[in-house]
Amino acid sequence: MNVLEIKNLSKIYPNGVKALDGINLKITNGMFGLLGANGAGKSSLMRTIASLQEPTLGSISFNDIDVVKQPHEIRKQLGYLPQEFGVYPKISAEKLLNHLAILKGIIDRKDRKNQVTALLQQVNLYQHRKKAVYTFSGGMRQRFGIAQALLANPKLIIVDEPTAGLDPEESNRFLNLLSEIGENVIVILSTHIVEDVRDLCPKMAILYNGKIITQGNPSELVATINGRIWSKIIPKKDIDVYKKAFDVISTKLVSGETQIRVLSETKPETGFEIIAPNLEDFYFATLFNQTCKKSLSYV
Amino acid sequence: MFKKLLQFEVFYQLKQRAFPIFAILFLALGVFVGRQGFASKGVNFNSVFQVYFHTSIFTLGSVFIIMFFAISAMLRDKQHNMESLIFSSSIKKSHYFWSRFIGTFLFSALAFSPFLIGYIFGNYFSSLDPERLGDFRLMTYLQPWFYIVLPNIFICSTIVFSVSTITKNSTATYVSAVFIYMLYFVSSIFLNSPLMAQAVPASPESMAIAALADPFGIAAFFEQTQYWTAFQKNTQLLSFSGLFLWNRFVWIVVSIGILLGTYGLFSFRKISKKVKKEPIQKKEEVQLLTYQPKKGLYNFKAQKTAFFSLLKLEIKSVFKSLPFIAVLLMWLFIVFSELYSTVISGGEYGVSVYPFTNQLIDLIVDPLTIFSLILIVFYSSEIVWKERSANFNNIIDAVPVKNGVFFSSKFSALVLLPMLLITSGILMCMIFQIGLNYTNFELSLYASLYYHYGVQLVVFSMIALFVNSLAKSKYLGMGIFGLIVMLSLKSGMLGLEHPLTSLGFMPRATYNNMDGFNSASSLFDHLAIYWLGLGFLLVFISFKVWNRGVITNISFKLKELKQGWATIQKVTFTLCMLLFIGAGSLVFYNVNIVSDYETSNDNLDFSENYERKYKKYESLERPYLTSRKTEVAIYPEQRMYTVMADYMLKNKSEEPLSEIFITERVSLKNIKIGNARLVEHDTFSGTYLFKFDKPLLPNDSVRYTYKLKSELKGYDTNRTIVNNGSYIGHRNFEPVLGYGSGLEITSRIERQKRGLPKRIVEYNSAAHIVLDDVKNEKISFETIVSTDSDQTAISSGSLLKEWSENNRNYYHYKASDKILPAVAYFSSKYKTKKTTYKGISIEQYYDVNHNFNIEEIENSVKHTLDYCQENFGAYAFDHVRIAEIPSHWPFGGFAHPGVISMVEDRLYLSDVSNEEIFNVVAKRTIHEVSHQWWGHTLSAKPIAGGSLFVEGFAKYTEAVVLEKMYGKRALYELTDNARRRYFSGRSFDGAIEPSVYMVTDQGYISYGKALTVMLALRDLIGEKQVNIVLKTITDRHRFINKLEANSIELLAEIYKVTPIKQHALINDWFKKVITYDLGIEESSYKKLINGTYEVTVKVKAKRFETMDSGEVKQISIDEPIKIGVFTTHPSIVKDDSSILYYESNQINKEMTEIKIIVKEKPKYISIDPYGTRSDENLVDNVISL
Repeated sequence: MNVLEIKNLSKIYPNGVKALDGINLKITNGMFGLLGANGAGKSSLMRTIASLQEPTLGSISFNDIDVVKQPHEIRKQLGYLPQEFGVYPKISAEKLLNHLAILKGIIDRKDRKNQVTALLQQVNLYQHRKKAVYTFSGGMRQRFGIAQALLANPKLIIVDEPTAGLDPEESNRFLNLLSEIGENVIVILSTHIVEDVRDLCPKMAILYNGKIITQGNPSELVATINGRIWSKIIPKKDIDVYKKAFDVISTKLVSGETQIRVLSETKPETGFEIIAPNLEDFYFATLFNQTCKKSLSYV
Repeated sequence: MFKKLLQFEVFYQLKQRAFPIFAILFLALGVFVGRQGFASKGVNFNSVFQVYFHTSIFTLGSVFIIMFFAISAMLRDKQHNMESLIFSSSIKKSHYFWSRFIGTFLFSALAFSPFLIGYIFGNYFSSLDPERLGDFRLMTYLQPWFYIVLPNIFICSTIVFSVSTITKNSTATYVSAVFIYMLYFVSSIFLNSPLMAQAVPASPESMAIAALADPFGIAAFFEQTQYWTAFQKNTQLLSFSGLFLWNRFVWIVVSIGILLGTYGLFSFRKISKKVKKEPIQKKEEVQLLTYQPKKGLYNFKAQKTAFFSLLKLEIKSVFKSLPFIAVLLMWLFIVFSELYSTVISGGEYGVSVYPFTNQLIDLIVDPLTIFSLILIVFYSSEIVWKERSANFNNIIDAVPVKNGVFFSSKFSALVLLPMLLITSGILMCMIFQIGLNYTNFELSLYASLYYHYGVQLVVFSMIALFVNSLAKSKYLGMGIFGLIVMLSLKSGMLGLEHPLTSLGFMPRATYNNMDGFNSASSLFDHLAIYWLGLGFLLVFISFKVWNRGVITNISFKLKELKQGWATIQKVTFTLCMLLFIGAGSLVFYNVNIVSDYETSNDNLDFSENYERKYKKYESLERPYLTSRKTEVAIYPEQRMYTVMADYMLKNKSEEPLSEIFITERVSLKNIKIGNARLVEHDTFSGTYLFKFDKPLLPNDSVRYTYKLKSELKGYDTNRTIVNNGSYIGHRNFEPVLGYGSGLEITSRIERQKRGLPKRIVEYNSAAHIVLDDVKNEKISFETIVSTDSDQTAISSGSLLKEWSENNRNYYHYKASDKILPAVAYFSSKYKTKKTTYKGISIEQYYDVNHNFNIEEIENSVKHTLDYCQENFGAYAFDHVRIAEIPSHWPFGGFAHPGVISMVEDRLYLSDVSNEEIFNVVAKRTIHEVSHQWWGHTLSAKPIAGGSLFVEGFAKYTEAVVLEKMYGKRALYELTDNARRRYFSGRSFDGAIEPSVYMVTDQGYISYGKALTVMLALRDLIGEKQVNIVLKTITDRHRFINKLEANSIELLAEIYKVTPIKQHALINDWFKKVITYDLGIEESSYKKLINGTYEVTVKVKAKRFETMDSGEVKQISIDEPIKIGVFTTHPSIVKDDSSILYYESNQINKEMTEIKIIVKEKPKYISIDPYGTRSDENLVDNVISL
């Protein structure tokens, strides 16, 4: 069983901005979803765990190895897909993946060739293997990134916004692969796409302004707002009125009509229907509470 | 709309930080250059010529400004992802294009122009000698701005802008800028541009080509001004005419053409996408593999494999990159052209040297350093920042490869680049050698290149990596390192001349065939250890603060530096520290303590002190040498020699002498003058003052003895005493009898600064034979010179006895008659060849590997002896000794009494095996042997006109003997060289040009015009008569010890054998500065009935006199000038069979028509084909019919 323990992790920039603020997490085998808005600090956290950034306070240990003090040891077990990356120009996918395989410690030529081939097939890049990675479309490049993250034998896989740029089919394939692998290793999926976390992750956390504001099993978390989510279709011009009157957690367009969802213990007013909440509702509700500085004790 | 776009351009470009930076940089540069005070003698610092000179050279630098603005103009949309926004607006292509171009051009011009302003400030607000600053004239600075700066910037802007527009690639733009720059230098070398110091003055044809082909107009500028005298340079503005006009016109038209073409090609609104042809994928049977995790290895072998994979990747990416390819191509091209022009197409007189390895290496080492540094500056940043530039660092930094592996792979890749240049250079040289059937490769010598040049480049690479590890961005790293490189190359300016502080200063390892590297000191080796020690320390630090992951700031890096020191790291660090400090201390000890390190300021202090204390002795009457007896013991192995001197001094004045003042050159032991007392001995200045209790009466003599030992201390280099090829002259150790005014400070500014009075310059004859004083005379000479048992020692005089004793060889020489005191001592492992010819022993002493031309030399000696004995009188000695000396001596040869020293690569290594080319070996031999007459037998008074007797007559002898041996074609080459030497020398000399008979130290007259005039004289009165004159004077002075012959006497003798009506012409040639402009206007021929041919020719002839003011006036002409009709070009005429007609015709009009009858079909006609008149333009003297 692999264990990643993050204790009181903080990253404070010289200008006083707190990118990470006292993060405490304990993650074991399986998929772990990290949800948060853009700028919440997800990438910062990912980078820190991946040994690319030193924290200001706190510690991270993976299977009792201190990540900060022994980054080299962590890298031996790491598979990292950054949020954005470029590639060297004028080198083919096969050659670059091969090079990365060497860097990740696969010395034996045959083993390497096998793994490279298998990975390229797995991410559906095999027929493009001789083309320069530089010329790939966004989705193809992303798939390449995924392939390299799986090289060697990673026990801690960190994927940061991995499905960006992938079409639904590609996205599906990838997530299936991840969940297969995730059975025996830690996979941290950092994303703002709520469905992915809902579908794949038995555990999740929400990151807001550098703090973990809630974590736990998605179904259990959703259950906490059971019976408190109401929905109504309203005219567009009334949105602001409702926002002032109630805790509107989301505004959506459904078939061209505006549908609002409200968080309330009781029925807010006539016209509201109670609905079974989903993870997205939970997410919006949580963020809403944060912005209103109300506390919900769900840990 | 266009106006608005233009406004935006101005607004945008003005905001670029680079704009004020460039402007200030060039302003500072202008001030710096303006203050420099670099101008040849007599030319004002702010003369039109100088301003043009500097401005045009610096516009070369504008290329880099233009590159910046072009990129920011044309590529900013792409770079900042604005293309989709801009292109979807309604902007018109023409507005877009022209507004961007104008922005580029305007701002480049604005950024560069401060250079001129700075220059003006530099001229007027500095410590320049005000006498060489003319009054301020705006046109002086404005004209170059209009004619050079604006057009050049326009031309470069169009080129760089067009590249930028069409390729839409910033790398391609950088490359095009560098390319223009390098292409410029290459073509300058190739076309013999005066920018490159060439030994060979460029021919008019290549000057004309260069003048048109040079887009910067520099060659055109030089072409127009090449023969301008200092006076013209100071007063004349450049004329917008001739080749200069054409150059500007052609290039501006070309540029406009490029712009229009680019406009046409420019695909506006197409967001550039590289569409590569898809390689057809074969349908292949592939086995589907399932992904299985595989545990990685992280041991040493793994790291090693990772290292090689990284290295391979780095190298490949460098090799595929345009800048590298461009630099490599340029390098190969330069190596090729350098080798070709020296080894195949010939150097001076069109003669090349045998392709000895060290000769070839010498040609490539300068560009090697420059090109290697370019590569290192650019690629150190590229390589270190590669991952971040590609945004791939997020992935790479997370792999389990240690910093050390990344670091060393990058370091290795960087170091490989200069190694590649060295290797390719070596291969080129070897290919040339093989092509010339020369197989003595001397591989170890080639290998030494890696050491002597590689070490410096490796250290620079280490520093580059250090800088880039600490820098926060790629361009900052490149910029800082670039700055460091420039500072280290110019460290003298900052006062950091000491080898230990002069980063990148490495003494040049001189190599010559005779002595190898031996004469170079161990300074290089010690410095190599010192700098490598420093380099390793920096490398160490770099790797410890290697940027991994998110870039941290300096304070964090310092923290990182202090932690985590493994034992091996501590050991390595300590070791490097020890090497660095150890080697540094050794160097310091040797340089400062053992050798008395002196900065240039220390030297000036010494001179000032010397002058203040001892100038009072300048007027002291001094005694003169009448006899010299020396015992010189040479120890080549130990780089040491001792001298025991036993002289006789005579009081030649009319007063009794009571004091003698002596300044030593090498510290003396036991100095004694008769029974005079040593009253003062200043050990710091090295002076001695002797007093006679009983004064030395006029005409009395006294005995003068001294002993000295000359040895090398510390890192001293001394080319007189080396392991093989020692050549010690009296001037190297002889104490100066009296006050040495040569030790005074010469710079007027410096003297003013120190409060010293103005200096009155005394004339000092700088001719071949240098004498100290007019009162010197020939002396009797005897010496016993000894050396190691494997070497031979030579000096002047007949060899009385030679013997071996105590494992040393001894030679006793004694001059049978009195000789000039210009004596030297040689010692080398010589191979000898002795032949007795008509009672004279012709002895050659040469290096065993340099036997190519020995027969040739001997043959020439015989011809010269024959001619001179027959025409000028008996040879003064019973021997002629010719001895080889190493190539570190900067002259061709030197004639001592009876002994001639010849430098190895100017005589022994010249390839004259081809019958058709000019035999420079013969020429040099004849020249030096003839000096035995001209200088030693006939010794002129060392006053104005004296060098006519020495060099002028020697050149004359060259001509007549070469003509006898090889025919008239030899004269063609010889006089061509003399004429060009005259004209280019005269335009660079600032002082007033003297007439031939008053020549002082002007080499362009004594080696140039003197020949022309002597040959003119020969044509006028006949060779026999000229020789009678020479013989008469020689006979008269042969046995007189005093040096009395002078040019007035020469003229008197010439008049005696010349008809009176020609005296005026002789006066003109010798007593005035006369030049000509001769040419064939047109010529035709027709066959006559009787089978002969009638040639009609229109000849133009003008004559000019240069007045004292420098002004050139046209004067009348009325003299006989040779016209020649030939069947081959005059330069290849071997014998009379090619000469159809060669007679003097009286020319007294500006245009003359002459009819000539010849027997065969004429091919060429020429006026003055064999150089008897100083004519600037040689091209129009010969035409083919």
